[in-house]
Formats: sequence, structure tokens, C-alpha cells
Amino acid sequence: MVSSRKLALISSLASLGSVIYFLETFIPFPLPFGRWGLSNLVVLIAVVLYDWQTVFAVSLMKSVVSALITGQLFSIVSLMSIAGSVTAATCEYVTFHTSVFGLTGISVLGSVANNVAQSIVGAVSIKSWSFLLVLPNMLILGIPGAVLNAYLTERVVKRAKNSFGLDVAQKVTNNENDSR
Amino acid sequence: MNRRGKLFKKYDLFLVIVIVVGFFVFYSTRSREGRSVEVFVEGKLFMRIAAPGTYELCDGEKCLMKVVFDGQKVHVEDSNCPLKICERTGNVGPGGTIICVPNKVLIKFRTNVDTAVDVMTW
Repeated sequence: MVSSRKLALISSLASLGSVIYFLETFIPFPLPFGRWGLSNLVVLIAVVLYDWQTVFAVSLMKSVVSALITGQLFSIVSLMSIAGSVTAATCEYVTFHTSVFGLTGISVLGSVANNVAQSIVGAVSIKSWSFLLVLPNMLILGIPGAVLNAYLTERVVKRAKNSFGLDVAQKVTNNENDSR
Repeated sequence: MNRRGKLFKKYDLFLVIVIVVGFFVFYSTRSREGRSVEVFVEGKLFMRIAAPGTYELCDGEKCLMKVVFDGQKVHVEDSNCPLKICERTGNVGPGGTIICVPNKVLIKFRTNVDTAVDVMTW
């Protein structure tokens, strides 16, 4: 049983992510494919504040809704985006709970995982591993967006804690236990 | 949330340095001398372009795109894919690649050194 509070949280994070995904297409990027990856912000926030189900749901919904907005659903391009998003979310969740990296490192690793997963899906779809030749450019261009995401996440988490007065994650888990 | 939420830890910098160094190592080992352009469709070598000119990439009745090679650089015109990413890639010099995911086309400006990578298609 999913609490309605959690449902609302997941949907608002996912819709926020989709809007950022759409708006960031207007920000110029040095490569014609690819983007700054700012929509990954919502996934990172979910990683810090909530459990893995939320993280997975947010990342999956974000990329599916974004694919709907850009009109590319069921194409290889959106499959790449979904694969990248889910891989990044998994990677961020795992590294966050191993406590080795700070938010910046988690975010950068997420962007690396995203790009690697996308390139592998792309390479398989065009049946040529030469696709991986664009990977170094993508990895290095992913760093600025990832660092910005980490900074924004830190700010958001701080604000959230101040305004709720207690750990938001704790609150959500308690609510869920109540509803069982 | 405890010590996990910190913005920076020392390994973060290490990670960024590894990526940046890897980037420069990758580009310093690549040759800038180019001879020919190879076009792959679905991983198979479709044509090899050595002379300057405009080449139409047709698969039976359907034409996918035009590949324009001017002797130094290569670019794509009139692609039928929705996002036109291959056209917007613009001119690509030796060692560069143009990729069109919807058409499963990969255009590779072949360099003299990295032949070992070039044959890795399947």
C-alpha cells in the first residue's frame, strides 16, 4: 500500500523533472546530441530524501513523461534516455548509501553511468561499438551539470529539513507504516 | 540524514580528475591524419569514400541521407530522421564520427592509427 503522500511526492518530482528536461533543450549544448542533464536533479533529491522505490519510480516516470513531451516515445532515442536515467538512479542510490562520495561525486558518477548506459544502448542499436567514441566528450561535458545538480540538491535538502523540522524521509516512512 | 549529505568529500575531486585525465589521454593518443571516410549501416560497411563529392545513401528505394565530403571534412545533408542530429553535428574532421541513431548509420572519418578499433563491428 502506497501512501497518498508518497504518491504525491513521486508525481511532483517526476513532473518537475520532465519540465526541466523539456526546458533544458533550449539551453545550448556543445554537442548536437546530449544535454546538460539538469533533470537528473529530481532523481538526486529523491536519492537523498527517500527510499529506493521512490527513486526508481521518479527516474522511470521522469523519462517516460519526457519522452511523451518530446514525442519520441517507443523510439531508440527515448529507450536510451530511459536506460540512462534508470542506470544513473541505481548508481546514485548505491553510492549514496556506501557513504564514500559526497553529493558531487554521487552526481558525477550518476552522469557517468547515464552516459555509459546510453552509449551501450546506442551502440547495440546501430550495431557498432564505434558509438563509444563519443563517450569521452559526453563524460566531460556531463561534469558541469552534475556539479550544479549536487549543489542545488544540497540547498533543497537543507530547506526541506528546515521547513519540515525533521527528516522528510523519516516522515514518509512513518506515514507508510501507519497506512499498513 | 547524517554525514552522507555532505556536498564535497575528498574522493569527489579524485573522480573528476580521473575523468578529465582520461579525456586528455583519449585525445592525445588519437591521430589527426585522415585518409578516407567509412559509412556503416547497421554495423556493416556500406561504402568507403576517398574522393570529394556528394554521396547519396540509399537502401533500396528509400534514401536515408546525403554524405558530403570535401576532401578535408565530412558532413550530412537531407537526412530523413526526425531530430536531424546528424545534420547538426556539422563538419567533422579526421578521427570524428557522425551518428544517426534512427537510421542506424555511423559515419567514421578513418585515421591511420586506430585500425584495431575500426574493425570492431558486428
